[in-house]
Amino acid sequence: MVDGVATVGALPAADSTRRVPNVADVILGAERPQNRIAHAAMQSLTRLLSRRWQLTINGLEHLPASGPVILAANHTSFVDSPLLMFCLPRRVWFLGKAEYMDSWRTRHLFPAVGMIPIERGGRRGALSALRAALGVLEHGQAIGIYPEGTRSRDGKLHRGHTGLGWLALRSGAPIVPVGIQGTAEVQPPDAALFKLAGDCHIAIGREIPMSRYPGRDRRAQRSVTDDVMFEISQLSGQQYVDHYAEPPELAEVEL
Amino acid sequence: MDSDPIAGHPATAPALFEGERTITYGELRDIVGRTAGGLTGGGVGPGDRVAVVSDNELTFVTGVLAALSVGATACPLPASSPDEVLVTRLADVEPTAVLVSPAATELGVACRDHDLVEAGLVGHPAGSPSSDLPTIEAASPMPAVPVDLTAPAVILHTSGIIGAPRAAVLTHHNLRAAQDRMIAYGAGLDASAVGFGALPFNHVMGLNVLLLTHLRVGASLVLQARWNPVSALELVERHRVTSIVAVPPMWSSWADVAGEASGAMQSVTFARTGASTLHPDVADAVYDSFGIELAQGYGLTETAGTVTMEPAARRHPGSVGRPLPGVELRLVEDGEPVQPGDRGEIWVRTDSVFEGYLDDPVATAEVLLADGWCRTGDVGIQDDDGTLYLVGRSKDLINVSGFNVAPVEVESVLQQHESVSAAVVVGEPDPVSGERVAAFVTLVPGATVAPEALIEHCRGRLSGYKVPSSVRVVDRLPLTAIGKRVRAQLR
Repeated sequence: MVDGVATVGALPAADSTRRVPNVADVILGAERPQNRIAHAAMQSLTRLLSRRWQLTINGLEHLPASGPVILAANHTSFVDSPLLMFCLPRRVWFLGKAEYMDSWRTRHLFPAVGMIPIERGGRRGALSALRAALGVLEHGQAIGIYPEGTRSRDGKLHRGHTGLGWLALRSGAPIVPVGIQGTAEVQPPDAALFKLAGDCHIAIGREIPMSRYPGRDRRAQRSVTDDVMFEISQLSGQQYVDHYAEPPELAEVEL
Repeated sequence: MDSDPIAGHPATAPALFEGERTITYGELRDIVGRTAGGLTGGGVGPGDRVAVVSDNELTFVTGVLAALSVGATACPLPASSPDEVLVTRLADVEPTAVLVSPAATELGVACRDHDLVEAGLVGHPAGSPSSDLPTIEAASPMPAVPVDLTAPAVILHTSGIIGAPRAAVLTHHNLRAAQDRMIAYGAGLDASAVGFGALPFNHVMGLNVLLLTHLRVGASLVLQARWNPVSALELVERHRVTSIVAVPPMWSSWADVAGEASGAMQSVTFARTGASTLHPDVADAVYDSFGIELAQGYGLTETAGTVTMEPAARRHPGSVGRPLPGVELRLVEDGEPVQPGDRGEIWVRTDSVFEGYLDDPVATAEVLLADGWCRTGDVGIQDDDGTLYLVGRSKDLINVSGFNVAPVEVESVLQQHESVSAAVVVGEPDPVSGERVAAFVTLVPGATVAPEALIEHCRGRLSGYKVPSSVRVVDRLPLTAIGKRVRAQLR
């Protein structure tokens, strides 16, 4: 709102009166018929597109059929999330910006298909994100995490944020590393549209043995995260560089 | 401000125990004073350097105190070093006088005969048995001269683990500031304390944390010139030692010889370790043997001693604790403080940070920054409450395909294998990954194990990039006198 005049087409400013459904609402809400239909529709659409993208997947035997699991993947394209959400044998939840709740187009669709809205910004944003992720796992669901925190623009694999380690050590949920290839050619990080051709591949790796990490302190979190990044690099074939992809949005987590 | 650290202590109070002999503060002041008189008579004065070549014996203490007393800079060197090392260090320091212990008489003679020392003043401190060298003393003791606290007091060679050892210059103020921190820590360091002096005095931990701090508070100190764990335990019991400052190899061999539930250290109220990584097993073994909770500290020559302290190393494996009051500490990467939980180079700022390296402004400028911060060259990681964990020397970290490997972590895993006695891990160049992890191990006597089995052992416990590409069994691993791994010799 500027000078009392609403600008047509713009999203309203973020405010604390926005009603952001909590994790339980979203997960349980997904079972409602209209939401199941929405999910099925998105799934069909994505699977159709995935054929044009010549998507192949290996390592499915490493993905537990049920129970909590963290899928940790590299991230080079907007297309990564739909692939992981709709092309695997089980539903995978992702965290998304709370601003999606402001637009009528996405307010119902995104939660229906598996996106949990999070208030972004600062420490509270980071905290809510991790707490929400924890909530998803406590419901026995699979959650997708991009440890790099953002899409890699140079195609290399970057240092992971320790939130992944925090989440795994706190929840006790297994981490399954995932390497995604070919999506940056389908829709590069700065492109608005995806192509209708491609050569995509998802490689799912073995669960990370968590018994190696005594304690849940920062040291353990960093250790877990680094080891996951190594496994992802083996699966995605990317070169690893030990610095963040960009100044992180996720600030410190208060434990 | 005078330079006499032992002024004011009662003359009859015991200062040092050496063998069967007790030396009181009064006797010590007398010997030091007469040696000071001898030095002054020989032309030594403020600004000069006095090398003191001695192991942990009375001559070390009297030599260093006498040097300080005349306003000179003391340069302690161990008598048990190889001659070539001693000669190089003496050449670095260019002393005006050299005081040697009886054990270092030959070296002293060589110095004198080969004109290694300008003033030609080479001899023993007062109170030493006669030999081919003169005793440097005056007939009556000379009082300590007033000294500016910002003047150099001591020159200590750093361990030189990553390159050549450097001569670090510490002022009176540096030494005292670090001593103040130890005294304030609450370790019971007062005149009633009895310390144990086997830790080499020519290293900052032995010199400032142990020797000079105990003398400053008027405590007494049991000297052991040659480390022997069995006789050390007897000494600790006999003198009812209350405070022990030692390094992990010493603690480890103590626990080995004592076995379970030994009462030898009942009198000890403060026991600490430092200088190299304490393996959790050693902390446990010390507790099982003596009922003692080891404190683990972190410090450098360049900070004149301890900057962080973990009071209960056994309960917090790997922790070196939080910065002591008066110490600022930050973790830095590419010139910026790191994100919480990330690794970074440890920078320290406190009033015990040294003046610089002797005659080496370039090396000094790399380490001492304009705003008083000192780069330690150590990499660490900090918990949210400020607890510091050491990852390793920055130059020791191995870069495998962009991923950092801390040698200590791999060494620790190798040492968990029943056949392995000790391990040292270094990086070797690799055309594909940049570096690869190479391990050298010594085996427990009588044990045999194939290198492949050790690699498998690591594979089960470490992420792929940390697993050694090769493991070589050797007879001996290069270690310094205080147990630090000299990785450079293996690269």
